[in-house]
Amino acid sequence: MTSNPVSRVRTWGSVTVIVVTVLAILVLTLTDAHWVPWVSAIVVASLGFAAVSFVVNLRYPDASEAAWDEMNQRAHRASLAFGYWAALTYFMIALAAVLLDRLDAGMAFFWLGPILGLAPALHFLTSVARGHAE
Amino acid sequence: MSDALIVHLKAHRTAAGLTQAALADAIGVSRKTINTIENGVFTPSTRLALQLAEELDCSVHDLFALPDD
Repeated sequence: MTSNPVSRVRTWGSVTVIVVTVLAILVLTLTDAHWVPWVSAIVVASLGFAAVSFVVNLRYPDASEAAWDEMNQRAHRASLAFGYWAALTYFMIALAAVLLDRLDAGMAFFWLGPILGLAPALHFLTSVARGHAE
Repeated sequence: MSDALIVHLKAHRTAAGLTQAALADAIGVSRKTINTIENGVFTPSTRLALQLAEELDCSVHDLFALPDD
């Protein structure tokens, strides 16, 4: 694990967002749980991650520069591109499901948010695990 | 032609008596970036290659070379 505080926050923040989002998707798909607490959990995890990242980047400018060097920026851009294709793929699947009356249009739109948040974080963590980012 | 580069960064870095972390700190990148450049996983931009060469007091051609074929 890196000693760079900005990279550590980025990695553990991504892990937290992924775990909370996947958990919410599983619970809301497999049970009759109310959606409000789980959506709130995703929002709190995401905003908390953003807030802590903002503070740590300001607090450690040298570490921030290293954590956002060109290798990490390249991995970050690749993760955003992956997020775009994941959202487009999800849209086409959800569109088919809506047209076949297998999914409510409102729910299809609702899940686009978690997919957009989840996919880039997952891709970036994969880059970290493969040694292509820190 | 292969897009892989021949990288001599590690030899020049060790000759200069620098660790990966020290070189990374000197040019403002992460230690992992130096590691991936040395292992051929990441190809640096022209700007970063020039920074590395300047820090190690050599030319970019000393650090990187194209394969023969």
